[in-house]
Order: sequence, then C-alpha cells, then structure tokens
Amino acid sequence: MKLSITNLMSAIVAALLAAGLASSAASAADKTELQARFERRYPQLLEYKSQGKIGETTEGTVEAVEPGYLDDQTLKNLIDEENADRRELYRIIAREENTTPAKVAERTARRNFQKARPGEYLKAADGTWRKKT
Amino acid sequence: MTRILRLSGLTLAVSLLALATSCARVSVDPIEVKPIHVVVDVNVRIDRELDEFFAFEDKYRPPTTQPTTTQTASVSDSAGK
Repeated sequence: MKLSITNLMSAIVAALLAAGLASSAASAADKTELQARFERRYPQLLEYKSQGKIGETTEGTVEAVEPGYLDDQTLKNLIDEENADRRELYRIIAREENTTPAKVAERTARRNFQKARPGEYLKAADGTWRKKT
Repeated sequence: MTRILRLSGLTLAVSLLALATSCARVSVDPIEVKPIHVVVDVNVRIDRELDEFFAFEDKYRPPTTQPTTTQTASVSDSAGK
C-alpha cells in the first residue's frame, strides 16, 4: 500500500512537470507565431505612423489619430490585428514574469514612446494627441 | 577626609553618568527596500523580454543614437523606402 501511494505521488509530480513543460513550450510557440505576425505588419505600421495616421497610446495600443482615418479599411484592420496581438503578448509575458498584462502594457507604452521618431503621434494620458518633436 | 570622600563620590557619580550616556544605543529599524527592488526587477525583466521580442524592429528602423536633426532625416529616409 505504501508503495502504491509513493507511485501515485510520483505520477502526480510527473504529470505536473509535464503540464508545466507543455505550457512553457506552448507559450514559446505562441510567442514565435505572434512575433512573425508583428514583423509582417511592422513595415505597414511604420508607414502609417510616418504619415501621422496611426499613433501610440499610453495603454500600449495603437489608434487612429483621427476617426476619419478608420474609413481606410486596411488601416482599421491593421489597428485591430495589432492590438489583438499586443493584448495576447501582454498576457503571455505577464504569465511568464508573474505580473499583470496591464503592467506589461504600461512598460510597452513607455518603450514605444521612447522609440517613437520625431513627427510621429503619441496619445497622452489626457487623451490628446501630441506630435513628438 | 570628608572632603575627599565627597569628591570621590562626585567623581564616581559623574563617571557613572558618562558611562551610561556613552553606552546608550540608538536602534533603528532596518529600512524595508525589498518591494522597491522587486518592482524594479519586474520592470527590468519585462523590458528585456520586450527588447528581445521586438528585436526585429531594428532591421526596419535602426535605433536612434544620433542628434534630433539627424533623426528627422532618418525618419524621412525610412518613410521613403
């Protein structure tokens, strides 16, 4: 009986380890897939940013600088896909780093504001768009 | 004799007082810095993850390390590509 309890405990530990490994492998695969999608969109995103049509927000997302720009379906789809993937990325990194997606979004926004080039639009916390100088 | 005794007593009292004062200890509770350290650590780890994940961006737009005037030129260069 003692032996079977030991076996059961070993099986549980093994199952937990396997689940952990599977989860981290899935996370790595998700990130690789996400990264490829981000990279495919990036040149177009840069183009719209340099045209002043898309800007970064303090929430770690991208938005159309003016509502009228959303009439461009390509631009709208780009924003929707970019933000959906960003939210997914924030969830993955938050899980890996034992923090919240909001914290990852905040750090991303900070990074993107710093990396923005002069002339690109950044949305301040009060909701106003400002051109980076 | 009485005077000597009084003087000795006074010296002893002053010595004891000085000893008591010099032995006084001020204990300060240790300053808790761990939460700040943890927050900084999380930020650093997140930033590192983001830098690794978005490393491809530098292929399309090299990082800005030059003065602002030159940066403007490089933006128009990359926009024109």
